[in-house]
Amino acid sequence: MKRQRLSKGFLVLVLAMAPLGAAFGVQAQPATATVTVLHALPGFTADVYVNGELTLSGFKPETATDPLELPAGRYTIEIRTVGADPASEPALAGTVRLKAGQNLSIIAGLTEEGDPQLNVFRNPLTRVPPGRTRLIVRNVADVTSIGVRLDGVRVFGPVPHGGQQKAQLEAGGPYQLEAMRSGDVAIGAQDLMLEEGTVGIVYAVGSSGQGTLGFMFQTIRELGSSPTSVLTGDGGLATPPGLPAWALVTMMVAALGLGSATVLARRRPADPTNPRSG
Amino acid sequence: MRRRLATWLLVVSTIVLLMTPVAVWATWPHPDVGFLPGMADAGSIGPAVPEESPNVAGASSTARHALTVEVRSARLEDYEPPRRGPRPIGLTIEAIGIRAPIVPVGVEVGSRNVEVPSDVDAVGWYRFGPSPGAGGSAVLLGHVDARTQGPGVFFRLRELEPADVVLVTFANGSEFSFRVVARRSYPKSGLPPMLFERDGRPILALVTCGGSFDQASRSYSDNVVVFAVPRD
Repeated sequence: MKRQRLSKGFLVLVLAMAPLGAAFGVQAQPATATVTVLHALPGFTADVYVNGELTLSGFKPETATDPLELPAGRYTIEIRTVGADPASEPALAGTVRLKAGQNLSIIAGLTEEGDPQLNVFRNPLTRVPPGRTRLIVRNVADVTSIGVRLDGVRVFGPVPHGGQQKAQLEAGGPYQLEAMRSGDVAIGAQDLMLEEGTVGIVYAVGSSGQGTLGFMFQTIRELGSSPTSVLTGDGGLATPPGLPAWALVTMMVAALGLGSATVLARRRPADPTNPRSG
Repeated sequence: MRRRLATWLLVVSTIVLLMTPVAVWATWPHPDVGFLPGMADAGSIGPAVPEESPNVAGASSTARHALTVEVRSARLEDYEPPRRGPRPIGLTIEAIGIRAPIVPVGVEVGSRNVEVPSDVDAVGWYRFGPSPGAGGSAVLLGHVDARTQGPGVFFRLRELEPADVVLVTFANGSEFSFRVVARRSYPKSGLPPMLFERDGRPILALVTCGGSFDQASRSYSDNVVVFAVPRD
């Protein structure tokens, strides 16, 4: 995980997007990174410029982009209040470097003091064992640390500000997810499904001072794995049949025939010179 | 005269003696029958489902127009897990006299084994895979037998033949009819990846044990899998 602080300013949001023009050409260039951009700053609607182009207009709090496949490289990001003159001084500017194969979540959250801050998290892409879910909780709210309970049970330790906690849990649900702060409920219980074979990422967001604490959620699919065995018998009753009865009888008759033939053949054929014959 | 009879008897008996095992072998239920369209027999993956390419941006950063970026609410309370197909509750296969309840099963804790219903007369549905009739491979499994309970619900699965009909009923009252297309035997450690495929054309896979039985470990060498596809 990497955290990156841009500047104090209004807001932050980042959208690294190169233009549609070459969309088809990308097939030949698999050197891309996957980026999901999340907006977790209360009360600010943003225009996001990437490499000088208006890429995302009217980006609202508590929303996120779909995962974006972007060519690796450096992206310049400028953020302005929605509708602001593109030539005006950006409220916030910065660069993000994307490496091929990475899956990143870029989320604009708050510092512990309540100032805007850009957080870049690297998402794990290791496969999840069959029947399980990887749950990650990240804290980008203006709180030093937050505890998390699933159906009243702590599944991991407190989540420090700007940090995260992970656990691999049995898939299922819905569970009641709530966040605790010094023994009190900070974010009230909400349903959380632990979907099998996915990475579920919960963000604690917002401001405790302004009463805007809440959960945001992101899921990464296609990370499941298949069971490897199906053990459906220990009785030993279904073994392949032996030689069937009809075959045994047939073969016995044939063996008899063979025996008789041998006996017949041993006997000398009728010979007038041999008085014992005939 | 007698010599001729002896020769005759010799020839006929020898032929019968040799041909009987051949006839037995020929009429033996063969572990692999039928054909699964679009599937290589070695058990490789079915037809590749083209990967969805999300918004793919160009390599060039000089183009003029911005790509349309989809934005959605990321509030946890707005999140809706993908809709799943209906829950199967009953299985009927007239051809081998099966009429059994279906219970959802998952993965045995601490292993990569599919959970198997404790009741040998119940059929398990691998609930993390698709629902029967939905895209991908829906897996139903059942005991061939159990040491303490005798023959299981899928004891006669190995007798299913292509064109036999398999009927699945669902909790919502609907039903879905399938037609057997193939039967395969795989070594236990070599189940094909396509068996748990979650996308693509709908397949119903009925799984049990078979092959030879090892008394010492009380386990079968193979899995018998019957594949069925929706009836037209």
